[in-house]
Amino acid sequence: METSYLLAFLLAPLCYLIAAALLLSRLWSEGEAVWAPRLVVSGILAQLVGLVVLRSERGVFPPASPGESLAIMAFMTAVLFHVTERRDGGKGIAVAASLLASLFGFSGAGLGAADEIHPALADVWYAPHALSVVTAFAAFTMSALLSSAYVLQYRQLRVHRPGRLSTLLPPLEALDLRARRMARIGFLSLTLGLALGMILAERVWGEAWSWDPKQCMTLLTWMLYGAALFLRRMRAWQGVRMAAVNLAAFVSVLLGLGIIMTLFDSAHRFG
Amino acid sequence: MQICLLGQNHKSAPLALREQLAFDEAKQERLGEMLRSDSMHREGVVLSTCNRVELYTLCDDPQDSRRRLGAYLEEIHGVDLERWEHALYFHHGPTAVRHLFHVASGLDSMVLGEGQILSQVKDAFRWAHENHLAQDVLQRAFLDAVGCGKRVRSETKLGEGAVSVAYAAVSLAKRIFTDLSKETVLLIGAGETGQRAARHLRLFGVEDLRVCNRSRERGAAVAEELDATHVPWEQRNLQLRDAGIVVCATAATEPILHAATVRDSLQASGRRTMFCADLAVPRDVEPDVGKIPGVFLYNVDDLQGIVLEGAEARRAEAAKAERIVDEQAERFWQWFHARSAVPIVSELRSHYEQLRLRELNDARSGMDGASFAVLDKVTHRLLNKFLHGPTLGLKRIAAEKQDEAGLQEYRRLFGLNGAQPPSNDDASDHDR
Repeated sequence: METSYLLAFLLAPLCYLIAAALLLSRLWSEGEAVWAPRLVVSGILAQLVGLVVLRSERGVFPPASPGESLAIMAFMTAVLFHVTERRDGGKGIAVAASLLASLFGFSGAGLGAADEIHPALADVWYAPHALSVVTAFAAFTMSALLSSAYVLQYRQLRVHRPGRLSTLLPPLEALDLRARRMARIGFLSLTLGLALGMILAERVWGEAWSWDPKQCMTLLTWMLYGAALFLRRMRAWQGVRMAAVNLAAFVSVLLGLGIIMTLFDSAHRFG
Repeated sequence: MQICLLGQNHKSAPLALREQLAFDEAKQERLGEMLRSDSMHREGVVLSTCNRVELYTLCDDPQDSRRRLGAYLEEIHGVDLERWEHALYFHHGPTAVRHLFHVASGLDSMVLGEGQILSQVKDAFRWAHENHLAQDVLQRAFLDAVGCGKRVRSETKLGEGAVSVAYAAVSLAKRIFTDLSKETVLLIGAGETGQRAARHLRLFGVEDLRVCNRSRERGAAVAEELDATHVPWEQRNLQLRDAGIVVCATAATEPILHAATVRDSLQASGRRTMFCADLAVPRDVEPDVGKIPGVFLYNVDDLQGIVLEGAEARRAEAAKAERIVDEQAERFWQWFHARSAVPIVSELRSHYEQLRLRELNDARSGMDGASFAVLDKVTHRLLNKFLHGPTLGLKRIAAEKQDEAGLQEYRRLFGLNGAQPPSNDDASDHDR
């Protein structure tokens, strides 16, 4: 088994999964799972080293296949959670984020690294384009997770019977703010990813925009998140209405990642 | 030597007696002096809270101690305790220690699991320690009791959940807003319940507190007491625009806060979230207010429901807490009994140290300084190694078996019955 696969596809998701299990074991008690953040950091480092090794082995930056994209999604989810979210508390969010990272990681392991490298991926603009888009999708996933937690907390408080689940989630105000922050990171990354993708397309295929199904779906996602953030800023939409818009926008991410990639013929189906 | 406890609490005594027996600082000083000048009691700690007065002492004869402590209480408080005999309890030995651990864990509190008692136990010990009344056994007992209380709080959920309607309201506000210090709180009505909620909010960091009451004088007085801003009654709807948290607790017979007013205030302020605790009966807030998106309206019944759920959960946790108390009390008793081995351990070490020094002195004449120093070091180390096992065994016998006859047998075995270490001549005779 190759070192890069071992580190980026197996060891890292395993670290995230154990971290999630440790956090879960401490979910109902007062104490902190002190080893969980260390395991997440170990997973991030293992994945970083694995991806760098993969790059040096074949001379092309990952992702070069859906499996590699998912591995980077796992990496970015862990980074985003660890860098921006962990300090803000909320045991439930920590468990869900670690589980998501491990799910992305193991799904990536199942699909594996690319067997053949498409010539377009050797272009210098490919790596920044792909990394920006994957970062955006990871941020949108975190944003959707926080918005789901918001809706859950909101419902618990509205029905006047906030159960124990409510104590595991951060306050509504924090969830709203954090969901918006993640959506903003995702939107900026996607803007950059789309721009870089157009430059790449121009160089590889001779035209910046080709109405490829994946391109169209990504553009729709960009427009939906753009509209959501615009509404938030201009019309001060927040709270449960904003959470609903955010979750609706996330449906386009799921469609882009899943259905479009598998059912339609797309220039983005590498590997 | 025994740990004794004479006391009364909210279960055993009526409020009238608890008031009479409560200790203020002067009375506590007086009791301290009495205990210090009393040869019967070696140590003493007074735990006086609104729900209990308990005197913990270390004495040789529990029954004498009980009589003497009763007399002290009568003298200090001017109360005839014969009338109140049934309201007092007296424990000694393991029962007294277990009671203390129970108290520190909140298992004996009026509100099961309440956390304030732990700091009261700490304060009682600190006072006694600073006044040289708890330096040895009671010091250990109280420190262990505090440790037990902390364990119960960290390993069980006994202290979780709201214990009052006011507290429930504040804990709900914390699930909505990230930082209460940034929120404006409008308290409408200056009654006792509202004030209690306002005090809780202050404890959780609320800085901008505004009080509005129909009677201007009463409102101003309460605002001053709570270090809050007084708002005239007529301006209450205007003030809603700033408020993220509204606590209503007036004696009005009709609602004073209407859905239209709240909706207008939210629209005017651009705010999307409001928490409204209606602590009044009849209700102060129109029920339709709860239907406005982003407004969380809780009335007394809702809050009472949360308190009851919390109480049920705490009762379920009490069994776990009891197990921790048992473990901690057992650990304390092991330490307490192991103490009886201390004089024998020192005797054992001193006995063999004398033997070592004697042998060392005999060998000194034929040795230079450096060789003697080496021999001194080696024999010292050897002695420590030889005595390590017997010392541990002795402590174990004392801690586990609490067996006085066993300890005496041990003394005899090691020749510690007050006998001098054998001289070299004796040893030579024996060799011969």
